[in-house]
Order: sequence, then structure tokens, then C-alpha cells
Amino acid sequence: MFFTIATVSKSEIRSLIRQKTFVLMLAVFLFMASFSAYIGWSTKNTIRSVYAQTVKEMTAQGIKEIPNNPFLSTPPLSILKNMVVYVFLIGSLMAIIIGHSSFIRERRAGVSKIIFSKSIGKWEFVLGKMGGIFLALMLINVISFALSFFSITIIFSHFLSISEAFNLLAFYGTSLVYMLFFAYLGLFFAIVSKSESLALLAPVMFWIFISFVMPQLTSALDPTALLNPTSIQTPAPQNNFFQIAQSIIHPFSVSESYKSIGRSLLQGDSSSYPLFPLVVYLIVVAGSCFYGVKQFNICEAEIDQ
Amino acid sequence: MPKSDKFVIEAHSLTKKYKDFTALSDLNLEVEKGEIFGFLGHNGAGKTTTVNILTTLLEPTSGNASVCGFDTQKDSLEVRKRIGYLPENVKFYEDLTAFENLEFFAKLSGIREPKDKIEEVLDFLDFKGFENKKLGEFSKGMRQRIGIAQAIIHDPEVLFLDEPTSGLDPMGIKNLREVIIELNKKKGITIFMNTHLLSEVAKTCTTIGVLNHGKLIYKDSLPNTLKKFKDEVSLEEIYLNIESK
Repeated sequence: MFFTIATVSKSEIRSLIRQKTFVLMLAVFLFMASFSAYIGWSTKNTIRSVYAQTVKEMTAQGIKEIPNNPFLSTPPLSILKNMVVYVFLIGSLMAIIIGHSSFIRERRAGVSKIIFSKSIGKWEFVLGKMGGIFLALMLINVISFALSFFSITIIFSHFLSISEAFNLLAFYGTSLVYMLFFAYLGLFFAIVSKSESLALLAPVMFWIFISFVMPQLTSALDPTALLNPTSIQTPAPQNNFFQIAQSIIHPFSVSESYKSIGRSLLQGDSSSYPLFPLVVYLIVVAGSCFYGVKQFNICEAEIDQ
Repeated sequence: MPKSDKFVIEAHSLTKKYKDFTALSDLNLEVEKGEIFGFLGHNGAGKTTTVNILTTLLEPTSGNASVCGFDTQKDSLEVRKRIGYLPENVKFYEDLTAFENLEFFAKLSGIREPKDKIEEVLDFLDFKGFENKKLGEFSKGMRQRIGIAQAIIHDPEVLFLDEPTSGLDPMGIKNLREVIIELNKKKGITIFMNTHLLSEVAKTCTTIGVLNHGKLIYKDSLPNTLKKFKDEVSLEEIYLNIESK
């Protein structure tokens, strides 16, 4: 049983590597992972020079109480906070494509009948697919971790401490869970949809809802928080609808959950690690994949374009 | 648990309905070990539905079936270990080579090191030298050979062929016929073949069954059939005679 599951997983990874769309998105994602440290470093330098200029002018004006450099108290990892946005936007979309193409491949090729005439059960097959997706995304996050680690080391000449490295690792671990959620969402719709376009459109609609609509109803009432991993700067409007919407939706908002954890881990703000929505959503969507494949009609597996 | 040694395929009161349409109606069928069973019927008679149920790909609405003594619903994995299946218009991963396709399917059949087995099967099918070509470059006849190869790579006891000659040229049909007979004679594989190519049935099969509107209306060995209908000049006329009754 383990052997057949591993065979499917291995085939999944091999097929992903051969897909041009995946390779292109992966290249963009990894480039952004490397670039985020540079962007953070550049931002830091700009603020430093603005601070130095301001201090100079304030001193010239005779002001004695000069505020501290705001970057002195920020941890080195905070320069990577753009990664939260990249995972939030590019990573999750890439994950949807991975999950979608995973099951669509068999349906498009028309090989489902042959596969399920072999000694492999439907749930073993989908477990193999999920395993392959997990390994592919884990590899992507491990590479991103290494890129971030070395970028900081090279750009800042700062070797991360054990706790900083652990925080960085935890951040990419959380990113893996977040991306897995979207990948399995893509997989689920690839299993249950009758047409290929619907199979892709449906998870993308979910992605839009989760990434943009839900935050609008919760912390993104402060517009700066829509994409950025920042805490709520202003309270929600004193309006019954928004207050109720926020209190109900916020605990279940997977994107808010991810942004909060990302912020906490990279900025050294240990205020919140709301793992609950992330984990629950992942379990629900993984369970849906098993349910979907149980209902999957092998004899009508071939998909319309 | 295995039920019987004599019959490798047994179907009892097998019925399959799709909403208002009855594809199979109360089908009772037995196929003996070592037979080449030709399952005849016009388009839409229910032949593919029967094969789909026997290969565990489809659940019947009622009734039950067993292959090699194992129930197709309760012991589907045990059934799958013992069967090979070549679907109509067989398809593969076009972006993979013949070897990669066969390797994947062999591993799904539980063969851990399939390299030698692939070579053996391709040798048996007289199809060596094409392993590293992508399936996208293959003709229909070549695909059919790879289809047979994936179906027999794990040494099945029963081989299900759904319209195996569909789309093949005369040479392809002849080659396939020889392969089917050889598989039956040399490897002792029982063959269940859906077809409506009567000339092939006459040259290949040992027993025939005729399905009409989801019901089995005739089943006997080919020699007995030819004796029974000795006034008919061809199997085609025999078939039409059976169907008209």
C-alpha cells in the first residue's frame, strides 16, 4: 500500500517538474523570496538615511530630544516581511495550480480507467497525490528558507541566531500549511468538477474571497491591512454590520490567520499565533478531497476542456 | 474469499440503471477458466457496462459479480490484482515515454522493480526498441501493444479487452489476434473480449455470449454454436439470427 502511494507521489513530483507553468511560477516565487531581503534592506537603508538627515536638521535647529532610530529595535527577520505578501498572493496561486494540475492530468490524459484497474484504491491514489503536493510545496519552502537565510547573512553580514532561525523556519512552516490549503482546494475541485475551466475557476474564486473579501470584512477595514502583514491600526467602524461581521468572520479568516502568524514570527511580535483557522481549514479541505474521490465516477472521469 | 475454481467470472442478476435507462438487466453469466470469451452485442447493448462492473470500475445497481472468486464490490482490490484491462481507445500519458508509462502502471500493480518485467513483456509482444519514445508519437496499433503490455505486466489470470480491434488496420488486427491467442495458450490467461467484429470472434474465441438491450440472450461454445446454426453460412448470419429471436 505504501509503495503504490509513494509511486503516485513520485510521479506527481516528476510531472510538476516537467510543467512549464509550474516552473515559471516557481522561478518567480523563488526570485521574490531572494528579492524580499534586498527590498527590506533597501527600505531599511532609505529610512536610515532619512533618519540621519532628520537628525542632522533637528540638531541644526537646536532640538535636543531626538527620537531613537525606529529600525534599531526591529529584528533582522523583519526585512523579510514582504514574503508574507508574496506567499499570500503568488504562493497561494501557485499552490492552486499545483493542486489543480495534479488530478486534471489523469482526467485529461484519460488514464483513470487503467489506473483504477490496478491494485490501488481511490483513497490511496488521492493520498499519493496529496503526498506529492506536500513534498513539492515543502521543497519550495525549504529552498525559500535557504534563500532567505543566506540573503540575510550576505546582505547584513548577520548570522541568524538559533531563535531567529527557528522563527524563520516556523514562518516557512506556516507558509507551507497556508499553501497546502490552497493546493488541496485546487485538488478538490479538480476531482469533483465536470469541466477543466470550472475546476480552475472555482478555487480561484475561493482564493479571491479568502484573500480579498474576508479581510475587507475584518481587519482590512483599515485599508493598509488588506495586503500588508500589519496589525489593525484603527478599530472597525462603529457600525453594527461591520462589528458583527468582524466578530464572526475574523476567527475563521485563514488569510488573517496567516498574516498574523507571519507578522508575529518575522517581526518578533509574539502577541498572536492564531493557528486554529489554518489547521481547521486544511483538515476540512483535505477531508473534502477524500470525500470527493469517493464519489468520483471513474467511468466518466475524462474531463471537458 | 474465493468462491469457485471452475468459473473465473460469475455474474448473478447483475443490473445497472442510469436514471430511467437500464444498461444491464438481470445478467447471469459464467466464464470458465482458460476460455477466450467473445462478448457480442450491438452498440449500447451493455457490453462496456458489464466490463466496467467486472473490472470493479463501476458498481451495479443490484446483483453481484465475482472474478477469480472475489466479489467485485467487496474485494475490489483482490479482483484488480488478478485482472488486466485494456479499455476501448486506450489512452496514456502522452508526455511520458512507453517505458515510463509502463513503469508507472507496473508499480501501481505492486511490481517494485519493473525494468526486467517490462523488457520481458515487450519481448513477448515483439515490441522492443520503442521504449524510449513518447506515446504521443505512437500509431494506434503501437498504442494497442502498449495497452496490452500494461494489462499483462503483472501476470493477470483474466484479461478484459474492450473492443480491442477498434481503429486498427488489418495488419494490426491480425497481430492483435495472434497476441490474444498466444496469451491464452502460452500464459494460460482467460480472456474476456467485448467486440462486434464477428470475423475476429470466429478466429479467436472459444465461447460466445450475445447481449441485447442489457440482457444475455445467448451463450455457448463456438463449435456448438456453429453446429446449432449449421444452416447459416457465416457467424454474422448466426449473430443476426440470434438477435432477431
